[in-house]
Amino acid sequence: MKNNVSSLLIKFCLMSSLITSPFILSAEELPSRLQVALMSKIVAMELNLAKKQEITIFVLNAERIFELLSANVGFQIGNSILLKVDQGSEIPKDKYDVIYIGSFSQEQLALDYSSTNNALSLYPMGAGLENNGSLGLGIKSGKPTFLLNLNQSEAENLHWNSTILKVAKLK
Amino acid sequence: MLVNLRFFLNIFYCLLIVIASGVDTVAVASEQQKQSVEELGLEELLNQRIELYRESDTASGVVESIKDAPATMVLLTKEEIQKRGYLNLIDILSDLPGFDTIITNGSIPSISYQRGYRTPWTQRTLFLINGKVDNNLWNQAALISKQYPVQGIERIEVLYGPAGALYGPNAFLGVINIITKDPLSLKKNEKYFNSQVILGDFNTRALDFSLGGAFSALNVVISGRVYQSGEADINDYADWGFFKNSLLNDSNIWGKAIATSDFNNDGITDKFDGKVIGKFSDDSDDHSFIGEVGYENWKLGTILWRTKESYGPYYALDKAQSNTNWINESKQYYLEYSGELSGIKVTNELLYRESKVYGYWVENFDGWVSLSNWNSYNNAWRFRQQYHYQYNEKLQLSGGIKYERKGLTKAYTTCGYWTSSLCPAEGGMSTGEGIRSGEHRDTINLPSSINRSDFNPDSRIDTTDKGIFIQGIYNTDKWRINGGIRWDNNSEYGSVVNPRGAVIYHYSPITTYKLIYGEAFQEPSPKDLYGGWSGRQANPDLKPEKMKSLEFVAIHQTDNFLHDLSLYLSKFDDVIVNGASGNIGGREVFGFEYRGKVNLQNPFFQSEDITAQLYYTFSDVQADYQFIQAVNDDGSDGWVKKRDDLGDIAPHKISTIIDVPFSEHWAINFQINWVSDRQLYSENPLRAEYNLNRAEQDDREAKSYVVVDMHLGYQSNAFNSGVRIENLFGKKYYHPGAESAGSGDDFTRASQGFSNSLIPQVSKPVVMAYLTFKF
Repeated sequence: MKNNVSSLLIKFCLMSSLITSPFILSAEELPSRLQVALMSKIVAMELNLAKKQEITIFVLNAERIFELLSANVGFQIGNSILLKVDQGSEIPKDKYDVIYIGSFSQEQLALDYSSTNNALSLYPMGAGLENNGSLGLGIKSGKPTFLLNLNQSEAENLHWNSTILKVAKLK
Repeated sequence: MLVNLRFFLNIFYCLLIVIASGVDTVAVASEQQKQSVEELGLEELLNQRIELYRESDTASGVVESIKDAPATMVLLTKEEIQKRGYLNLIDILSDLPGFDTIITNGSIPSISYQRGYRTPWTQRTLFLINGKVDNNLWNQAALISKQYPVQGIERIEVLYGPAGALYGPNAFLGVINIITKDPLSLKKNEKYFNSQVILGDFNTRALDFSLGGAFSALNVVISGRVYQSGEADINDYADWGFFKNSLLNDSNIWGKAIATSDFNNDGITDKFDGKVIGKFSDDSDDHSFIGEVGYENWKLGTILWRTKESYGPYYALDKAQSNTNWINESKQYYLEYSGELSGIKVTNELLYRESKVYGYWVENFDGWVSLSNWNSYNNAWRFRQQYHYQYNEKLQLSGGIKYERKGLTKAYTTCGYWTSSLCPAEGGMSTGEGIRSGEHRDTINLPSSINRSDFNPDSRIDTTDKGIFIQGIYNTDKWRINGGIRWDNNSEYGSVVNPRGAVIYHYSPITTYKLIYGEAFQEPSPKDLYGGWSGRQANPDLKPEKMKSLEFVAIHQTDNFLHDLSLYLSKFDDVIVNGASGNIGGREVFGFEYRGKVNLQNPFFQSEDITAQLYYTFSDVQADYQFIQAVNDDGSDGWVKKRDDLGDIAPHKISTIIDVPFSEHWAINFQINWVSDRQLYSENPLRAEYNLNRAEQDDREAKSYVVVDMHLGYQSNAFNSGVRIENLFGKKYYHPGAESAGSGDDFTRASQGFSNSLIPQVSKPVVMAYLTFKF
């Protein structure tokens, strides 16, 4: 019996060590209500958005996020008022201040859109995306966390408050 | 009772102190000023526990976060299942708070009593797959073996307490909802495939998979599992005198025909149902398939599974041979459509299902032996419609209707058994020719599985269920009020009304209190109403069991701790233990559950915390009636009014789950379960107090034990792999017996009853290894 267990463990360790690939902190998406609450804080920490009186958001392929954000239209988000929230499964033609990328299917197109329009690209970690947007919202050790992509932020002409740089994991 | 009450109050005060100590005074001051999570600062938001914000519709039929749900809930995600290395639902149930899970490794491999309510099988918890009731239509049991595909599970939602106001019949003690990925939630072009191979001790092999894809407008999600195992041998179990190989091939018990598996005395081994009898074997062969296809607002789905189990240590081996098959089958097919009409969301469901129980049985009853075949076949059509209307930002209304037509078996169709058993192959009613003394070698031909059309019309009954419910949810800044009521009608036992009300107070974003009152009812099962046979009486006059429950829930989180506790009192009336006994009085359960979680700094791998979960369950369960053996003048047994401990429920249980990530890819996880001593059920002859043939000093309990399971796992984007070791230290222990648990423990003579009074557990480490590929 002991030999069987030892043999299994050795084979298992050897096999596992042969393959390495990037590790995802959590495959579970951050609950929608926490994502929306975090978004409200984040827009106040990007200097361009913080100066705006009104903010518009486009939600790509994320029904529940759209529902929750829609309930906040007309109310304060960060330092601004949330003027409009739209959703769809295609890249929008109009200009929005924030684009929430809910699925990977059009991730690159969405990132191109956000770079062209200087829109903040937000996405949920664990949704199968390549995590190339400016700011990913995820879970670490059972609590919310950020993944901040400085290259993409630069492409989107974003300027982050130093507070978020302290708490976010940088990519 | 008073001692227990004092004990309980002490625990409660201690926990209040623990919770209070977790709140520093500054936090209290700021807590009161902030009304919702949206008002928290960034750092406070990053300290919120995600468990409380996960969303579910199991408690009230509308999507809400766990902290808003009108019930105590435990939600287990796919990721947590992976972390702990759970390979089947029995692993998961064994670690849940508020459940006493009995592992039989037999024809019904596991039995779970939720919140202290002992029943023959898992019959008072509503078991759902994607919201569809999966309990057997005839005996109401949730058959939880190794059949369900774990790879396909997105999350498991466990609700504690009555939910009759939403679900109608049989949402009695709580609800377990197994949820797979919804095809309508797949994103454009999303495709995935996971497949898991499991290999382990006892020649266990399993393939478990899930796949899904969005193809233009058509979305498909499929999961399935094939599981085969030789299961543990007798020598792998703790010792038990009625669980010995020598009993199976004893010609004095079984006669040579069965003891040697040579039915015609030609010296060549014969098989019964393809199995050699007279020796121990405990094979399992389970499989399942769950599939859903989504197209715009339509969904077409199926849930299919089959378990083929042997009897293991469930029965005394001088009464029943272990090496024959007992099979449970379930098929469900459904069509759903969701739409919106004048702002009202409407969900329609049309469902057809079949529940089948059948199998083979080799029995010795006082020297009379038989080889028999048993069949029960049931089906149902159901139409359900549910509505949801958001009246304004504070008030939402919902409701629903149900119509269900069931075609039920009354009694088993049994061939090769005692006189008066129903058997079409024996001319409608068995003559009892299949019963013989051990030496008699003639056998009769037995049919295999029987279709419903073969059943004797006298053994069938058609019933109709109707139900309607309404529910309102009102939100203000800090308060959430949920009220609902449901009316149900059954063509046999009439109408029942069940209300539920909950007041939820979010004192602050980190502290929530809930006060919940609910009622529920349990239908008398067709098995108990009509399922009589020579060994068990039916009772068509049974009334539904009823329960009401009052519960207080407090949830509080600090930077590193999450405290979640429930205090409840449940009262039950018209209790059904089996058909013959009728409705016997009431029961009362006074319970306390603590569900805590802590994050600790990780000295091995800084990027991820060590997490530990601590579940503590206290149950004080009183029953109005006790079964007393030899109480009557003629020496027979009977139920007698006497309020006492119900038995088989551990007063104290602690489950600790520790997860230690020690590198980017590696983690080790321990599941430690401590169960206190527990008195046995009054029907169990080992409980001397209620067995007048047993001396007081010979009273026996199910002894306390600690069992440790371990999982070592490797995780990457491409694959997961791991080793799970159950009962790491080879602890020798026993669970209380199932059903009437009547075997006794006098191993010098024949067992007193069929079910073992204590069920020995596997007392050596059991190793399972798995490899999961992800595409």
